Amino acid sequence: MRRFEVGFRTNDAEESDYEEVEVEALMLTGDKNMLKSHFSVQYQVSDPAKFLFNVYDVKATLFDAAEAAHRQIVGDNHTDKTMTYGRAEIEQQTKDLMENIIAKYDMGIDILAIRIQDVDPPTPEVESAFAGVETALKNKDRAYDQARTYANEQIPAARAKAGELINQAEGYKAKVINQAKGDVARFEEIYAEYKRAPAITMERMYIEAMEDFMKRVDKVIIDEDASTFNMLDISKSYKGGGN
Amino acid sequence: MSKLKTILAATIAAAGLITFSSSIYTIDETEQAVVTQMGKAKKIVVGSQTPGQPNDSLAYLLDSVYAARGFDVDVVSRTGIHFKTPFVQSVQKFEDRIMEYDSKPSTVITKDKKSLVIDNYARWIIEDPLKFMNTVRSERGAQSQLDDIIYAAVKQYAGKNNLIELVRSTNNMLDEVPDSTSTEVYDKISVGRQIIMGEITDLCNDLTREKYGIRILDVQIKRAEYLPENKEAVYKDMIQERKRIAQQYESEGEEIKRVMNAQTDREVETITSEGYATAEQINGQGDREATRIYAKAYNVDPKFYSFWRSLEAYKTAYSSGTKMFMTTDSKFNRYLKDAK
Repeated sequence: MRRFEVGFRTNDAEESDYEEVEVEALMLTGDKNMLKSHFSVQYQVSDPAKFLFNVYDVKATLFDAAEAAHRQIVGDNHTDKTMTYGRAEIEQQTKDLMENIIAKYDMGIDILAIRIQDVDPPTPEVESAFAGVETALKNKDRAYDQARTYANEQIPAARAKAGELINQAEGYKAKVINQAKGDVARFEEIYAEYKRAPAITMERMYIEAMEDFMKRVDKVIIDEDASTFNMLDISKSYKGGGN
Repeated sequence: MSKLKTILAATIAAAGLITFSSSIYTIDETEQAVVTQMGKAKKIVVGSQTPGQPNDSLAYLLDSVYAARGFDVDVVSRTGIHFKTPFVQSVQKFEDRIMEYDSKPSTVITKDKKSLVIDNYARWIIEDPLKFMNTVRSERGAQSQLDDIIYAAVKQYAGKNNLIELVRSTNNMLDEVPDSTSTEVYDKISVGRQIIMGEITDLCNDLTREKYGIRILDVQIKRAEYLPENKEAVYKDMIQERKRIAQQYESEGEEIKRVMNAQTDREVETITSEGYATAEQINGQGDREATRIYAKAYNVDPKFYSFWRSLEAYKTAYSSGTKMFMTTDSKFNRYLKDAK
């Protein structure tokens, strides 16, 4: 199994460390934008004789075919698809097209796989604009979350408050009804007593009430036969306070 | 005497060797050859695409072509050892392998007045070594002829088509709009890159076969790019588009938040006011029930109720300190005057 890279070269030291080859990586997209694509090609020799004798410069031929194929496919799709969700499809289509191209050359080579390492925006400025979209999308999600949180706070609180109001009302209702029942019960006791001896009970009640009443108020008792003169005197003494 | 014989023998042997070596030549799987005598071609050894299998059909074809033209040329297709007339005939070898042509990037103008820097390549093979020899003479010589033909063809087709036709090969992309915020309207292609390159290949191939005995297998666009100044404009457009999309997401987020919060507030309003209403209802129920209880009890004897209730009122209605003037005529005080 053999392999070559297009658009980048892996530094020997580490596999994850690579240098870009901009001239190979920069290409046009279907929506007339540009992006940078880095991919590798894996192949094997299926017919050694053809591999050795049919093509003058095997390496260059494979490389050119890979570039031509990949650029044709990328040129047929829009930027977003190539940069994000379309990678697997583009890998497959590049492989198919490359196989198609080298079939004419009868090289005795099988293309095993195309693997896209990275697809990037063409310049740092464009890249940060792309990053800005990511951020904006995150903000959009965050706005939704904030609204949900608000709802999750407000609605239960409102329900709780409404419940409280209702509880208070229930409490009032119970109190008022019990009060009524109590008052009525007391009345009915007195009434029963009254019914047993109406005149006497009325008399007694009256006197008791007056007794209580008199205790509290300041009284001036005037004989109805009293003269006006006496009243005047009385009013004088009244002014001075009295009992 | 024997020394002379030895020298003579050696000389004859040497001469024989030289003669022998001049009379054989080998053709391997990567080679073709033309054998000439006094500048005239005598034999062609054509190569084959499939190693180990002689290309008899091509040999036969060329043979008949040359015979028809009155050439006395022997066309074979075979690798290995061949023989020729020593000294008189000479062999010129040519590549039998698929050769590479790679142009330098060149600028073309499309039908819609856009500039594109195109880097082509082509793969070609020597089909008729004799014609090849008589025209471009060598593989190196072929390069500049291919340059002219291929560039002319690419320029011609570019001028007849809009930029987009050189970029895309299908209209598949039109069915896949990346996101609903896109305002772009994508051009539809009518021909496309793949077909155009196919036509360029055919056009060039017909020419080169006719003139140089070269068969062109394909011409491909290896790279196509904007001019540097146009790149800047494209980058600007890309940035603008991204900014627009970002802005769209931001406002969508704000809108969602606004709508949802308003809905939440409405719901809170509803819950709260319904709570109030229900509470009031319950209060009212309480009041009504209490009233009913009172009424039911007091209506049994309204007069007694009035009496009793008034007495209760007297107990509490007047606070201490109230002055009251009473006569001895009052019911309460009557016994103060006399005990009647």
